[in-house]
Amino acid sequence: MSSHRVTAILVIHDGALWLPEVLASLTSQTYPVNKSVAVDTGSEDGSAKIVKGARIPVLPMARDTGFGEAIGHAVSTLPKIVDPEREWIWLIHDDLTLHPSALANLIAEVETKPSVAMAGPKLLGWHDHTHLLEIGVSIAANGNRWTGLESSEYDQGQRDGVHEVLAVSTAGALIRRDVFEQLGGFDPNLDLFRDDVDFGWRLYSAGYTAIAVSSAIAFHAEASANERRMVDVAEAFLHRPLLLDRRNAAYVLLVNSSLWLLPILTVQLLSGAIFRAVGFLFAKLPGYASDEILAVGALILQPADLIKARKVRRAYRLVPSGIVSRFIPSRWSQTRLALSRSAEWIRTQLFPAEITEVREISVLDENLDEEDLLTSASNRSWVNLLKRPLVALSLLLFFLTLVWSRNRFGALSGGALPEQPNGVSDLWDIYFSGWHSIAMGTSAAAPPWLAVVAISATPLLGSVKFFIAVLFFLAPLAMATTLHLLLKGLSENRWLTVSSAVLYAISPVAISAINSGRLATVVILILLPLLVKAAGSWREIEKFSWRRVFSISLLVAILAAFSPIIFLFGIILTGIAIYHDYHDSDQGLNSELFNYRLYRRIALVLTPLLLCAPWSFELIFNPNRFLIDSGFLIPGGGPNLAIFGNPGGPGSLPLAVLSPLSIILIISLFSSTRARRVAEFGFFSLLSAVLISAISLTGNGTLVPTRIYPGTLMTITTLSAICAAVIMLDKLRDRLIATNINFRHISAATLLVATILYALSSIGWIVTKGATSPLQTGREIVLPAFLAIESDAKTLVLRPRTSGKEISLNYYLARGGDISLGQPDMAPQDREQISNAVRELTDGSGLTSSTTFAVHGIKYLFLKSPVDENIARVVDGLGGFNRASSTNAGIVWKTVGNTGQVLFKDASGKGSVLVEGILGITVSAPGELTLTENYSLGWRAMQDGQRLKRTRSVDDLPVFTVEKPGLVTLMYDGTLRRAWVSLQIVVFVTVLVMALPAGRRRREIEDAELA
Amino acid sequence: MRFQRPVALVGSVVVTLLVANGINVGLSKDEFSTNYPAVVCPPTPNNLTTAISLPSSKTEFRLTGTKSLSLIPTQTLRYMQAKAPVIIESQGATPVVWQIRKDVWAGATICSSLQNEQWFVGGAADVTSTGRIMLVNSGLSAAIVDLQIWNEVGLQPSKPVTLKANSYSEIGLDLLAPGSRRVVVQAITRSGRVTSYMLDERGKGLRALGGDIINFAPSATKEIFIPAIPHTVKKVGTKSVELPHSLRLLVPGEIDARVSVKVLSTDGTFIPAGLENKLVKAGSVVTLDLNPKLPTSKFGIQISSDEPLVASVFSSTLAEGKSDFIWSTAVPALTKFSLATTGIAPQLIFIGTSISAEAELFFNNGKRKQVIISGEEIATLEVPDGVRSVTFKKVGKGIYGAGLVATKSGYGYFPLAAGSVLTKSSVPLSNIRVLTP
Repeated sequence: MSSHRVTAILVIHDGALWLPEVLASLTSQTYPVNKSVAVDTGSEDGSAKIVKGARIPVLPMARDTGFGEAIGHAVSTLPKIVDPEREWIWLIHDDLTLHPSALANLIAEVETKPSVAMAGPKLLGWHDHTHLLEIGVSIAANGNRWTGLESSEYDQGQRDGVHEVLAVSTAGALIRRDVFEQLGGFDPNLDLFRDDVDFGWRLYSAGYTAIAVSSAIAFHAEASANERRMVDVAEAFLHRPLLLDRRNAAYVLLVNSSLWLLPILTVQLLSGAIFRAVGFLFAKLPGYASDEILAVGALILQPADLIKARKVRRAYRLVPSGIVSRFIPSRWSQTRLALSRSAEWIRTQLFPAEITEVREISVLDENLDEEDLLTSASNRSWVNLLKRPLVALSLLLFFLTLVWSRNRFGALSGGALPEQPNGVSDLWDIYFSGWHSIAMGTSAAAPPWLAVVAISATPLLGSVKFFIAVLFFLAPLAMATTLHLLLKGLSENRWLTVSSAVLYAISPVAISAINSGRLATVVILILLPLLVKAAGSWREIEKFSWRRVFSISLLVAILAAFSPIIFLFGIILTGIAIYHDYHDSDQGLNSELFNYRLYRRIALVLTPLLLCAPWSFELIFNPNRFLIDSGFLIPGGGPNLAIFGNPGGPGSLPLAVLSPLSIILIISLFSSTRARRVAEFGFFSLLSAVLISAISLTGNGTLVPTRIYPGTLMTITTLSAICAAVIMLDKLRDRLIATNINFRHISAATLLVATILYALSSIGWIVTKGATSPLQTGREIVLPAFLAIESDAKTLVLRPRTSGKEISLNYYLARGGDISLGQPDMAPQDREQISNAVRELTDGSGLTSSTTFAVHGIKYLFLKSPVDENIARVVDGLGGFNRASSTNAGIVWKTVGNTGQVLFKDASGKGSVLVEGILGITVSAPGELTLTENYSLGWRAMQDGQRLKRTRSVDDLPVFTVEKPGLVTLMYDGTLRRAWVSLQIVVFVTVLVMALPAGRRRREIEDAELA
Repeated sequence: MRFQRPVALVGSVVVTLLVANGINVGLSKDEFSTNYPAVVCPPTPNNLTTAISLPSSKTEFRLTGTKSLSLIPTQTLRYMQAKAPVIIESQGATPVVWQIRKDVWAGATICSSLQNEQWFVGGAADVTSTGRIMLVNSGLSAAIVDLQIWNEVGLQPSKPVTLKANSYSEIGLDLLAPGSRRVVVQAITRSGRVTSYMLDERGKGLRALGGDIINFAPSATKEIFIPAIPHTVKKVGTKSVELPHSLRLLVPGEIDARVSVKVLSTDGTFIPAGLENKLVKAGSVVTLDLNPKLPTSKFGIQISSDEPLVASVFSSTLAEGKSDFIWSTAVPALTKFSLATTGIAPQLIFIGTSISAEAELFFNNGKRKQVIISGEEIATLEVPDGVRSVTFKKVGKGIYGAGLVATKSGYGYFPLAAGSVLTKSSVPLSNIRVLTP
């Protein structure tokens, strides 16, 4: 038997709930505790009485007494030390039970390690005895309590052993009494929390060590940290444990670290606090957020305590404080743990634990021993895996996509998709900018989908091109996946749901959208099933939580940003729903129900509008744009193709590949199941698509009337038809078998044949012709490189366009390059002066075309190949244009008149072109500066800090009157745009916070979940 | 009702389709503008006289080489052109140019709009020649023309010519291909609005041998039609001597051609001896004798080849006792167009398998007369004096025509081809898609 003398000190504070078990475990230790003493810090729940009942003397103290002070008081009542190296104090919390051999195992270890002055047990959860809470503890550089364990780590003995650690928790800590007294006990500035780490740090500085002994086991409820009782210590401002914990963490770091580390530590603590505070705000835990900021702020504002504490430590320090650096977790360890936790969180969100079938042990299995039970009963070979519909059809779709995309591996453009900038920063520049250099320039608001693309591309190394390429490549799989998530709720027949999802991915609208680079429709195809899944039961919207309402709003905002017709569709549906709500609520008599629904519906409509402001407001003033998706305006196939569920247009399936969608809808309309209701919706959408596809519009930078592409409506139609089919076909087989041949058999056979024929023909088309679509990689650039060099020079590009049998001429103003993502959506309206000049140029009557071009700063005229020789002759003959080059790319003429971005006319009327330098434009005489951009109130010219007078020229260009020679700075004042973006960010963050799942306060978490 | 739903379904689909196809909301086709480009007439070289027949005295014109770009009415039906070539807004009518060196020779051509490619088959650059090519840049920008010259040896180095804006230039053939007896010139306009003309004028010592304007062919083809070749019989004492013809050919490609020449005349259609399946060497200008021995005064030829070629016929003529020569050149198929003929009273000759056309003669006094032109192989229309324009209103397929004018100064030949054709150009529309591949 060892001769170590152990005094157990039990600190109690409203611990009646746990004390009976604590006392029982304390008294049942196999190694006898020589003496037990309890300190009661003002318990109000009879804790002291319970302890006294166990014949343990209780020392009463004030309610706001700290843990360290209570221990110190207890130690001071003990008799003098007789054998310093063999006298120990054992700190017991009132929410800690001990394994009977805990003390014996601790003593056994310290006996063989004379340098050890502190030893602690392995702490397991109070409720879940397999939950490993701690086995030694440290502190990270950002103040986090570091245990090195994974979240809710299951104890399988994987951490067992005796480990040298920075500190052990005070719960169950065995401390040499002489060392405790030598170091002055726990720091009085640390009433609760982190006193253990601080003591361990001081212990090492004094030349001692600490160990964690896994054979010694204790079970801890962590009642204070988990907010199971009030924290009443003097320093606990507002009784907030997190605030106290964070404050103490910062204190420990700042008083124990080397002096030279203090600046960086301060910055780390502050930035860490802000970062975590933002996180708590997103989790709707503003109290915790304020705790983070207050904790660090309070400490930094009271440096006297820190200075004093550092002096005290210096007095006892034998070795530098850096000796503990091996216990401080590296950044990599912290990152790895954070990544591991994130991955685990994502995994649990994506694949929530499913209740798997439990195979009951049969009579035959009775002889199986435990080891046999661990072996999986099923035989999972690769062949069996391939027989699963999800795997088999996903693989089929993947390989089909590979073949389909064979010309699309790389940066994509063509069809409705313009060239993309390299990085997301370029997209953000466009998004935040108040002025866009497109044609003659515009102050139109950038569409919000640019921000969505920029955010989505950020994880892919910020490469927009890569993101777009990946999106279009994975689009069929993504479409199938999201639809399958929806269909899973409609049928349990996986063959039916998966094959329907694949059919969706190769539906006419999907093929057409991918082939013609229609980003908007692709996004709608991917996300719409999620919206339907989230808002499926929206008739009973009163059952939706506000969080769900805002989540749906966010999704609607994203969809509407790409395809504004969603706004229109949403408003129509909301109107119908409110009408039904009125009837459901007994003509408004049940105002509570009506209002519940109304508020939520209004939020669903208004939030996306606000999120997309000011772009959405521009749509209201230009309603045509509701019908135009993002990107270039390219035509659809018209109503006669749309009626077959095919939106048509370049890259779409030919009419011969007949889609079964219309047949499905028609059959479903006669169904008696709820498929009929879905089909009615789809049929309405189909008819809307047919009507809309007959309309021709101009917009998105084109004045060529173009048939609307009904991609979004056709997506709704396709989705409805497939959902209706799944509902109808689910368990239909059983019904068909059970009945004589009737119309159901005929309908089912028709539907099946039509679908199989479509699947085969569409796959055949995809494999053979699908890759030669308008959307391709490695497209040539329109503007020759030598024109692109002069990035600020405007070039009027003339190009023949084939429309059916007619070849017509189109033109546009290039600003140093091809059109980039987002620019068609913001393209300004054509200027009459320029369009007249171009018309006269091509019909040979434009003797003043060159002058008009020069006035508008158009420096070059580029006739793109294939060159119409007649036009070339006409331009040659008109005068005012000098041929600059004639290459395979086309013919370039230079405007004869001197022109550029900034034109200057002095008082005598003499004109010149000024070049903008780094500092601005140097003007040599008084006169008028003309900026060859569209007039806008945002244009400013500053000279000597004064704003120059701005007027509008007859050509609608901004003109500034310069009174004296000197440097003039030209700029566009984007304050309004910045204000809008700021407002948008505020709305977005608010909606995001509302939509995100709320974090739980620790007091709201189940005991079993915590410990 | 049992059938209520199907009827509603079918009805809604039909109504929607009808509405969708019927209203065709906002759809508008591309706009096009049509116009006749202005025609350019050849300049008047020194000591020559040029008269241009116009369809109307209100026809507007401007001169090249002047600063004024405004068009003014001619106020005459026959414009006597000074030196500088004129640009005429003839609105579809093709003016005929009559150019003479008084009492020496005469020639005719049509004023035509800018041309990308012109083939001039005729002329010489030997000591007898004072021929020249005349280039007119009617545009207001500088123009570049490449002149490719072939002679009896082969292709000569090409000569690029730069023309200032709104100017014209004359280049002697002796400068282009010195010493060449047989010349073919191809003018290719690289940039600018250029119309070229060629003049073949010859003399021996102080004796003038005649001259003519060589009309151009737009391209080398495998089928060539030369409709109007004057066949002159000269009385030498009591004997009648048929004046000779020679056929000039150039196969500009690299493969030799097999050529057949068919003569079309009122005395029948035949292939002269030695001109069937005749091998013509590629790359050099070849001359073949063409002496069909015909009693008639005019005939035409059709040349068939297995390789593209250009051709013309050189004929010696005798008009009102004065010797001259004439270059009959290839013409395109006849189309509906209007020809201004004031003051020239030409004889129009048509060839083709079956000739059927209808023309309207518009007299100076405002009267109009419809004329039916019909015949097999060859037909002729004598345009009487006092006709200011001939409009071909109906034209059958496969008809080729040319005009011959005989005066005391000599013979002139011009093709029956529109100097400017109605061009249809789309009104350009602003479309951002031009900036995407």
